[in-house]
Amino acid sequence: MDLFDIPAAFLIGALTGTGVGGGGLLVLYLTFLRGVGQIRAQWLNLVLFTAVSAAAVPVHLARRKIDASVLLILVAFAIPGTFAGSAIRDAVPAEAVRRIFGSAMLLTGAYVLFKKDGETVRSERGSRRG
Amino acid sequence: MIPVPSLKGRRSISLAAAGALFAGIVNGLLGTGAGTVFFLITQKLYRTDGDVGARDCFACAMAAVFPVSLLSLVNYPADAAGGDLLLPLLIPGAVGGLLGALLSDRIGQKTLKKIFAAVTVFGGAYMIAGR
Repeated sequence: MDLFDIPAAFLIGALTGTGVGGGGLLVLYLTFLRGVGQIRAQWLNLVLFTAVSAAAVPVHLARRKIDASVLLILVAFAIPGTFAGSAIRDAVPAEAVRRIFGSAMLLTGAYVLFKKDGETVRSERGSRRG
Repeated sequence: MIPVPSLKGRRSISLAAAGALFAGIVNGLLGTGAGTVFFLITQKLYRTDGDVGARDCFACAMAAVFPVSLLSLVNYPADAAGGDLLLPLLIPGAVGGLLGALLSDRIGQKTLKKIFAAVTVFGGAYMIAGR
Protein backbone atom coordinates (compact mmCIF):
# COMPACT_ATOMS: atom_id res chain seq x y z
CA MET A 1 0.00 0.00 0.00
CA ASP A 2 1.23 3.48 -0.87
CA LEU A 3 0.72 6.58 1.28
CA PHE A 4 -1.16 8.32 -1.56
CA ASP A 5 -3.66 5.49 -2.19
CA ILE A 6 -6.13 6.63 0.48
CA PRO A 7 -6.27 10.37 -0.39
CA ALA A 8 -6.31 9.57 -4.11
CA ALA A 9 -9.27 7.18 -3.72
CA PHE A 10 -11.07 9.65 -1.41
CA LEU A 11 -10.66 12.55 -3.86
CA ILE A 12 -11.68 10.51 -6.89
CA GLY A 13 -14.70 9.15 -4.97
CA ALA A 14 -15.70 12.68 -3.92
CA LEU A 15 -15.38 13.99 -7.50
CA THR A 16 -17.53 11.14 -8.75
CA GLY A 17 -20.12 11.63 -6.00
CA THR A 18 -20.56 15.33 -6.79
CA GLY A 19 -21.08 14.65 -10.48
CA VAL A 20 -17.93 16.40 -11.65
CA GLY A 21 -16.53 13.14 -13.03
CA GLY A 22 -13.69 10.84 -12.16
CA GLY A 23 -14.50 7.52 -13.80
CA GLY A 24 -11.12 7.03 -15.43
CA LEU A 25 -8.90 8.96 -13.03
CA LEU A 26 -8.17 5.94 -10.83
CA VAL A 27 -6.94 4.00 -13.87
CA LEU A 28 -4.59 6.90 -14.65
CA TYR A 29 -3.34 6.97 -11.04
CA LEU A 30 -2.84 3.20 -10.86
CA THR A 31 -1.14 2.76 -14.24
CA PHE A 32 1.08 5.87 -14.15
CA LEU A 33 2.01 6.16 -10.48
CA ARG A 34 1.54 2.64 -9.11
CA GLY A 35 2.65 0.54 -12.09
CA VAL A 36 -0.53 -1.58 -12.11
CA GLY A 37 -1.44 -3.32 -15.39
CA GLN A 38 -4.25 -1.90 -17.54
CA ILE A 39 -6.87 -4.65 -17.04
CA ARG A 40 -6.23 -4.92 -13.30
CA ALA A 41 -6.41 -1.10 -12.97
CA GLN A 42 -9.75 -1.16 -14.81
CA TRP A 43 -11.04 -3.83 -12.42
CA LEU A 44 -9.98 -1.80 -9.36
CA ASN A 45 -11.53 1.32 -10.92
CA LEU A 46 -14.77 -0.58 -11.47
CA VAL A 47 -14.84 -1.85 -7.87
CA LEU A 48 -14.27 1.68 -6.58
CA PHE A 49 -16.91 3.14 -8.88
CA THR A 50 -19.45 0.49 -7.85
CA ALA A 51 -18.78 1.29 -4.18
CA VAL A 52 -19.02 5.05 -4.82
CA SER A 53 -22.31 4.70 -6.70
CA ALA A 54 -23.70 2.41 -3.97
CA ALA A 55 -22.91 5.14 -1.42
CA ALA A 56 -24.13 8.07 -3.53
CA VAL A 57 -27.25 6.65 -5.20
CA PRO A 58 -29.50 6.64 -2.07
CA VAL A 59 -28.71 10.34 -1.53
CA HIS A 60 -29.50 11.19 -5.15
CA LEU A 61 -32.67 9.06 -5.15
CA ALA A 62 -33.96 10.98 -2.14
CA ARG A 63 -33.19 14.42 -3.57
CA ARG A 64 -33.69 14.16 -7.33
CA LYS A 65 -36.34 13.43 -9.91
CA ILE A 66 -35.58 10.06 -11.44
CA ASP A 67 -37.79 8.58 -14.14
CA ALA A 68 -38.21 4.87 -13.42
CA SER A 69 -39.06 4.07 -17.06
CA VAL A 70 -35.83 5.71 -18.30
CA LEU A 71 -33.84 3.96 -15.60
CA LEU A 72 -35.32 0.59 -16.56
CA ILE A 73 -34.57 1.03 -20.28
CA LEU A 74 -31.00 2.19 -19.60
CA VAL A 75 -30.21 -0.81 -17.40
CA ALA A 76 -32.05 -3.38 -19.56
CA PHE A 77 -30.23 -2.42 -22.76
CA ALA A 78 -26.85 -1.83 -21.15
CA ILE A 79 -26.70 -5.40 -19.78
CA PRO A 80 -26.20 -7.18 -23.15
CA GLY A 81 -23.75 -4.39 -24.02
CA THR A 82 -21.55 -5.22 -21.02
CA PHE A 83 -21.25 -8.82 -22.22
CA ALA A 84 -20.28 -7.65 -25.73
CA GLY A 85 -17.74 -5.15 -24.30
CA SER A 86 -16.24 -7.79 -22.03
CA ALA A 87 -15.86 -10.19 -24.97
CA ILE A 88 -14.06 -7.48 -26.99
CA ARG A 89 -11.77 -6.72 -24.01
CA ASP A 90 -10.84 -10.39 -23.68
CA ALA A 91 -10.19 -10.73 -27.41
CA VAL A 92 -7.80 -7.78 -27.90
CA PRO A 93 -4.36 -7.21 -26.31
CA ALA A 94 -4.15 -5.11 -23.11
CA GLU A 95 -2.02 -2.56 -25.00
CA ALA A 96 -4.88 -1.99 -27.46
CA VAL A 97 -7.36 -1.63 -24.57
CA ARG A 98 -5.03 0.97 -23.05
CA ARG A 99 -5.01 3.03 -26.26
CA ILE A 100 -8.80 2.78 -26.63
CA PHE A 101 -9.10 3.86 -22.98
CA GLY A 102 -6.76 6.81 -23.65
CA SER A 103 -8.74 7.85 -26.72
CA ALA A 104 -12.01 7.72 -24.76
CA MET A 105 -10.48 9.84 -21.98
CA LEU A 106 -9.12 12.36 -24.48
CA LEU A 107 -12.51 12.73 -26.17
CA THR A 108 -14.41 12.98 -22.86
CA GLY A 109 -11.96 15.55 -21.46
CA ALA A 110 -12.08 17.64 -24.63
CA TYR A 111 -15.89 17.53 -24.61
CA VAL A 112 -16.07 18.72 -20.99
CA LEU A 113 -13.44 21.42 -21.62
CA PHE A 114 -15.15 22.92 -24.66
CA LYS A 115 -18.89 22.38 -24.10
CA LYS A 116 -21.09 25.17 -22.84
CA ASP A 117 -21.99 24.76 -19.19
CA GLY A 118 -25.38 25.30 -17.51
CA GLU A 119 -27.42 24.10 -14.58
CA THR A 120 -30.51 23.02 -16.48
CA VAL A 121 -31.01 22.01 -20.06
CA ARG A 122 -33.64 24.65 -20.57
CA SER A 123 -31.45 27.40 -19.13
CA GLU A 124 -28.76 26.44 -21.65
CA ARG A 125 -31.27 26.70 -24.46
CA GLY A 126 -32.63 29.95 -23.10
CA SER A 127 -29.19 31.52 -22.91
CA ARG A 128 -28.51 30.50 -26.52
CA ARG A 129 -31.68 32.24 -27.62
CA GLY A 130 -30.62 35.32 -25.69
CA MET B 1 -42.96 12.67 -3.20
CA ILE B 2 -41.08 14.32 -6.04
CA PRO B 3 -42.98 14.21 -9.36
CA VAL B 4 -40.99 12.71 -12.22
CA PRO B 5 -41.24 13.32 -15.96
CA SER B 6 -42.27 10.43 -18.18
CA LEU B 7 -40.59 8.96 -21.21
CA LYS B 8 -42.57 9.90 -24.34
CA GLY B 9 -42.38 8.71 -27.91
CA ARG B 10 -40.86 5.84 -29.84
CA ARG B 11 -37.90 7.99 -30.87
CA SER B 12 -36.99 8.71 -27.25
CA ILE B 13 -37.20 5.03 -26.34
CA SER B 14 -35.03 4.07 -29.35
CA LEU B 15 -32.45 6.70 -28.40
CA ALA B 16 -32.35 5.48 -24.80
CA ALA B 17 -32.08 1.83 -25.88
CA ALA B 18 -29.32 2.37 -28.47
CA GLY B 19 -27.39 4.68 -26.16
CA ALA B 20 -27.68 2.23 -23.27
CA LEU B 21 -26.40 -0.64 -25.43
CA PHE B 22 -23.40 1.51 -26.38
CA ALA B 23 -22.86 2.46 -22.71
CA GLY B 24 -22.83 -1.22 -21.78
CA ILE B 25 -20.23 -2.02 -24.45
CA VAL B 26 -18.01 0.85 -23.28
CA ASN B 27 -18.32 -0.22 -19.63
CA GLY B 28 -17.62 -3.86 -20.44
CA LEU B 29 -14.58 -2.96 -22.51
CA LEU B 30 -13.06 -0.16 -20.41
CA GLY B 31 -14.53 -0.69 -16.94
CA THR B 32 -15.85 2.88 -16.96
CA GLY B 33 -17.72 5.33 -19.18
CA ALA B 34 -21.31 4.12 -18.83
CA GLY B 35 -22.12 7.02 -16.48
CA THR B 36 -20.99 9.61 -19.02
CA VAL B 37 -23.04 8.01 -21.80
CA PHE B 38 -26.12 7.63 -19.54
CA PHE B 39 -25.81 11.29 -18.53
CA LEU B 40 -25.68 12.42 -22.18
CA ILE B 41 -28.72 10.24 -23.02
CA THR B 42 -30.84 11.63 -20.19
CA GLN B 43 -29.83 15.19 -21.05
CA LYS B 44 -30.85 14.59 -24.65
CA LEU B 45 -34.17 12.99 -23.61
CA TYR B 46 -35.14 15.92 -21.42
CA ARG B 47 -33.73 18.78 -23.49
CA THR B 48 -37.16 20.39 -23.69
CA ASP B 49 -38.18 19.77 -20.09
CA GLY B 50 -37.20 22.68 -17.86
CA ASP B 51 -38.14 20.83 -14.69
CA VAL B 52 -35.34 18.33 -15.21
CA GLY B 53 -31.96 19.78 -14.34
CA ALA B 54 -28.46 18.54 -15.06
CA ARG B 55 -28.24 17.19 -11.50
CA ASP B 56 -31.40 15.12 -12.01
CA CYS B 57 -29.87 13.69 -15.19
CA PHE B 58 -26.69 12.87 -13.28
CA ALA B 59 -28.70 11.17 -10.50
CA CYS B 60 -30.50 8.99 -13.07
CA ALA B 61 -27.17 8.11 -14.72
CA MET B 62 -25.63 7.23 -11.36
CA ALA B 63 -28.58 5.00 -10.42
CA ALA B 64 -28.30 3.17 -13.77
CA VAL B 65 -24.54 2.76 -13.46
CA PHE B 66 -24.69 0.77 -10.23
CA PRO B 67 -26.25 -2.48 -11.59
CA VAL B 68 -24.31 -2.18 -14.86
CA SER B 69 -20.99 -1.84 -12.99
CA LEU B 70 -21.85 -4.81 -10.79
CA LEU B 71 -22.45 -6.92 -13.87
CA SER B 72 -19.25 -5.68 -15.57
CA LEU B 73 -17.30 -6.74 -12.47
CA VAL B 74 -18.54 -10.31 -12.78
CA ASN B 75 -17.24 -10.47 -16.35
CA TYR B 76 -13.62 -9.64 -15.44
CA PRO B 77 -10.95 -12.34 -15.66
CA ALA B 78 -10.12 -13.93 -12.31
CA ASP B 79 -6.44 -12.90 -12.46
CA ALA B 80 -7.40 -9.20 -12.55
CA ALA B 81 -9.39 -9.45 -9.31
CA GLY B 82 -8.37 -9.14 -5.67
CA GLY B 83 -5.08 -7.99 -4.18
CA ASP B 84 -3.81 -5.76 -1.37
CA LEU B 85 -4.80 -2.54 -3.15
CA LEU B 86 -8.51 -3.19 -2.92
CA LEU B 87 -9.33 -2.14 0.66
CA PRO B 88 -7.14 1.02 0.76
CA LEU B 89 -9.03 2.23 -2.33
CA LEU B 90 -12.52 0.94 -1.62
CA ILE B 91 -13.27 2.42 1.81
CA PRO B 92 -11.94 5.97 1.26
CA GLY B 93 -13.50 5.95 -2.22
CA ALA B 94 -16.95 5.07 -0.84
CA VAL B 95 -16.62 7.66 1.97
CA GLY B 96 -15.57 10.28 -0.61
CA GLY B 97 -18.50 9.33 -2.85
CA LEU B 98 -21.02 9.70 -0.03
CA LEU B 99 -19.53 13.04 1.04
CA GLY B 100 -19.50 14.25 -2.57
CA ALA B 101 -23.18 13.35 -3.02
CA LEU B 102 -24.14 15.11 0.24
CA LEU B 103 -22.19 18.25 -0.72
CA SER B 104 -23.10 18.25 -4.41
CA ASP B 105 -25.61 21.11 -4.02
CA ARG B 106 -23.09 23.35 -2.26
CA ILE B 107 -20.08 22.90 -4.50
CA GLY B 108 -19.48 25.11 -7.52
CA GLN B 109 -18.66 22.53 -10.14
CA LYS B 110 -17.52 24.69 -13.06
CA THR B 111 -13.85 25.08 -12.10
CA LEU B 112 -13.60 21.51 -10.79
CA LYS B 113 -14.95 20.20 -14.10
CA LYS B 114 -12.37 22.16 -16.09
CA ILE B 115 -9.53 20.84 -13.90
CA PHE B 116 -10.89 17.29 -14.21
CA ALA B 117 -11.17 17.68 -17.99
CA ALA B 118 -7.62 19.03 -18.33
CA VAL B 119 -6.22 16.09 -16.31
CA THR B 120 -8.31 13.69 -18.40
CA VAL B 121 -7.07 15.12 -21.71
CA PHE B 122 -3.45 14.94 -20.52
CA GLY B 123 -3.88 11.39 -19.21
CA GLY B 124 -5.65 10.24 -22.37
CA ALA B 125 -2.92 11.64 -24.62
CA TYR B 126 -0.24 10.01 -22.44
CA MET B 127 -2.01 6.64 -22.61
CA ILE B 128 -2.31 6.81 -26.40
CA ALA B 129 1.33 7.81 -26.81
CA GLY B 130 2.48 4.99 -24.53
CA ARG B 131 5.18 5.05 -21.87
